[in-house]
Amino acid sequence: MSDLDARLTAALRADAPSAGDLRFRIGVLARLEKRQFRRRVVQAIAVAVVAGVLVAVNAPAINAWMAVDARRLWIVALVAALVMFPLPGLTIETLPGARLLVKVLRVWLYP
Amino acid sequence: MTGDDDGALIAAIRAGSERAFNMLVDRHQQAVRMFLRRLLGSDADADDIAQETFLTAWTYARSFRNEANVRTWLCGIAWRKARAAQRSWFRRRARDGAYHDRLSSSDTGGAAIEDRLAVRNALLSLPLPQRAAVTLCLVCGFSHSETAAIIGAPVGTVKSHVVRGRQHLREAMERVYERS
Repeated sequence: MSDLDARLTAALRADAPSAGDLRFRIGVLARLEKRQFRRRVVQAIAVAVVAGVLVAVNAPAINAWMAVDARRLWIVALVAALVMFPLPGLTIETLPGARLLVKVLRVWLYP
Repeated sequence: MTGDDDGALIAAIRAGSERAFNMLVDRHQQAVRMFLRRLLGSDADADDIAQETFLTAWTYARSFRNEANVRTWLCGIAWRKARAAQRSWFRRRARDGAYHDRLSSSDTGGAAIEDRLAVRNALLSLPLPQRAAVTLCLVCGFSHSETAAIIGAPVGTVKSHVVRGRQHLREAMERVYERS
């Protein structure tokens, strides 16, 4: 390799980013977190809007259904909670004990 | 580092492992950023696109074919993003920011500043696909066939790009050499 080629190679490879650039990695993770959060919020809002419309449309039927058995109020409360919790961007799985609560309510309502 | 390791990392990323994703970023960020810096001429914008490249890799890890090379796949994503950016806003920003980026860098990398500026200007004067081929082959060490897969061009075209590109860069260096 001539001197010119060596200088060309050196010039092309100058200013290489460092191998373990923590700042870059943190930048990628911050963007990833931001994107995931935005997606969760959009999903939560969509769920809330759809649920709101469904409740509004079916309000008389829901009232009649609840009037049959007082315990059915708990089911409605649970559904409302499931819809409300995702609003700040949380998923149901992230809530501690959510699965256990659903299991207990199922046993209690349908022995 | 082996292809098997990368395959395992991709499998873990598909399963949602952020730790595996961290390792993937650590392993390949240098090559992807180097490619984009030479391609676009601006460190800040190159790093911006490099970060977007890794986010795309996270999102579309399922589309990765195991027989492919991870670094080739990542550089392919980076190439498509850079090309799209170049079409819109990048050209102006690269021109404005590149000179400052280069001069403000503290790492000279062992090359004289006149050489680096001459090579950078010569590289930026090449058409984008040719610049990509030269960068991938001469800077990142990809083979002609890997480069062809990344930029989506025939191998013959890549070889021609590299030969002509290298000649163009050599001429720019010779002019610096004569002046000094």
